[in-house]
Amino acid sequence: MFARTTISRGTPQWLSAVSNQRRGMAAAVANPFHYSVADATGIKVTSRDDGGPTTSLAIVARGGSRYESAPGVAHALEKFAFKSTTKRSSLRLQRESELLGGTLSSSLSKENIVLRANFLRDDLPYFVEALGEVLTKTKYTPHEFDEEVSETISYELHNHAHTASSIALETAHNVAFHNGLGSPTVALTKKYLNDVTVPSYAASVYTRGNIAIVASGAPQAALEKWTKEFLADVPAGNGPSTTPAKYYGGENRVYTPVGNALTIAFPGSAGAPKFQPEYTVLAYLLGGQSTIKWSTGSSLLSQTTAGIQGVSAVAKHSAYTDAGLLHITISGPASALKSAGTAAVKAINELANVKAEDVKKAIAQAKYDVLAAIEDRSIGLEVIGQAVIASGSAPQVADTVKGLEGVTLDAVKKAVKSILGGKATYAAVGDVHMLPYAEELGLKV
Amino acid sequence: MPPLSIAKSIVARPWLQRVLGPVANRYADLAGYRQIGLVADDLIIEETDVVQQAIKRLPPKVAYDRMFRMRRAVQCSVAHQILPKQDQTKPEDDVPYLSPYIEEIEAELRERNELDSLAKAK
Repeated sequence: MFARTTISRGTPQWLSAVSNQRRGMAAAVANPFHYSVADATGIKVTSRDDGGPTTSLAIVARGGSRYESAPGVAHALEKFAFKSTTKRSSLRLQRESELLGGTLSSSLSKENIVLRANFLRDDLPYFVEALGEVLTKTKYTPHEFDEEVSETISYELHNHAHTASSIALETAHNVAFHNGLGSPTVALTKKYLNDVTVPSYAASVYTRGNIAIVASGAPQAALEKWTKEFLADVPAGNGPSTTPAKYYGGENRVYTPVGNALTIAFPGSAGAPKFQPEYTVLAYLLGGQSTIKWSTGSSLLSQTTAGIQGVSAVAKHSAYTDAGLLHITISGPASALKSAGTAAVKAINELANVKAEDVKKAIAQAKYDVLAAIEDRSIGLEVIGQAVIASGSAPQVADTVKGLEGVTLDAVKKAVKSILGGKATYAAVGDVHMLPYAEELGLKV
Repeated sequence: MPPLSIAKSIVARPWLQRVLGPVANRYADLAGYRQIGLVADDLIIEETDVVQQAIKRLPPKVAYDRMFRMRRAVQCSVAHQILPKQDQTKPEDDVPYLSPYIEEIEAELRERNELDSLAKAK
């Protein structure tokens, strides 16, 4: 069933661990949301332990589409996660983790490739080993690329290419940041993907200084120990080089028959440790998503777009290591998008005379989301990992909340002034004959 | 399922290979496929799922060469001729290019079967 090594290693750990962990669960944990950080022979290991029965483990590698050596390589590398390694086949890995009741997944963002495992607390060594194998022992065989990886890439590309709002957001990133952060997350072409480019990108991304092990619900000492043991063969290195992100702004229009969407974006705040919480508050002030069932909500965007049929407008703030983007994506029928776009710009301009109680409301919502996210152990590991790789320290939820509470009306107004003073980013996707230009909406690009 | 073969155990013993190697080569020459430009792996029956899968996994150049050899061989067969000496397969070119892929796929299937029929031990 299992590889021989797994059995011989698993037994003593299992026996010794049970008694310790029973005790751990019963004892009240002083600060369950505190991430402690340590260095395990060059690999940053961070965890929080609330003594719960399940664990979420993630390896965050700084190797998202921003850093890729050729278009689409990051996407292919992410899809190669949990494929055959020199130690076990992908089928065996799947079946083994099924037997342990675990789930494995991987995800790709602009900046990171994240390998995730959720499992029962006792199985930590098995999953550290499994994720570690992905980093150094994946075979990257051409037939697995042709038979499995390529198909999943096509599927995700199809999904992306058939969602107007997703195209609009990618286009906005491209306009805002050009190369790097602006390069598309999904592989638009497989031209550059082969059995040389993908493994060599893997070799540069999966290096000691470039990854972080993040766990939620695992004891830090055990995590360090197993990381040292199972990730011993990860080569030293600091990952792909990059140029700092620069915000450009501007306008772009893309024709697509699949739907209609506009994205209006402004420069935001970089992620931890230089995070400016007022930009998150701005996103919550603009809002768009209703918090109360069957109502439009009371945020600025939902109020201004309330009367327009079939339109949804959502504001979000994305924080990257050295830049950020505050973006509003509006989707709906092409005929309605002109008025919806005008309404969104009106909401943005109204930010300048926002009232103190609105700020208070937005802060409360932001605080709730931050705390709710940290309670669910599988969310937010990527943000922690990204900050740990960049700065060596983990952003603590208490500090994040304190930061949000400290946002004043003046800070918000200052942020509004700076985004309205600068160049906006505008992307129109869909039936470009009908969709408005940035200037018509009153945006400065 | 490949036919039973003692070839591996012979290759593992150098002295045995020294004795039987020339015999094997002579046999391969007499079999006649080298005279029409084929290699031994071209003779594997390809009408099975495993071999079809293996052929799909061949690198493009290797797959192209395989197709070329087959067409040339068919042409030879139709014309009742053998190739001129310089075009015939040399013994050193007669390498297994397909069987490693077949073995890999068979190992995958075996593993899948094993995992599918796991029984709890105790």
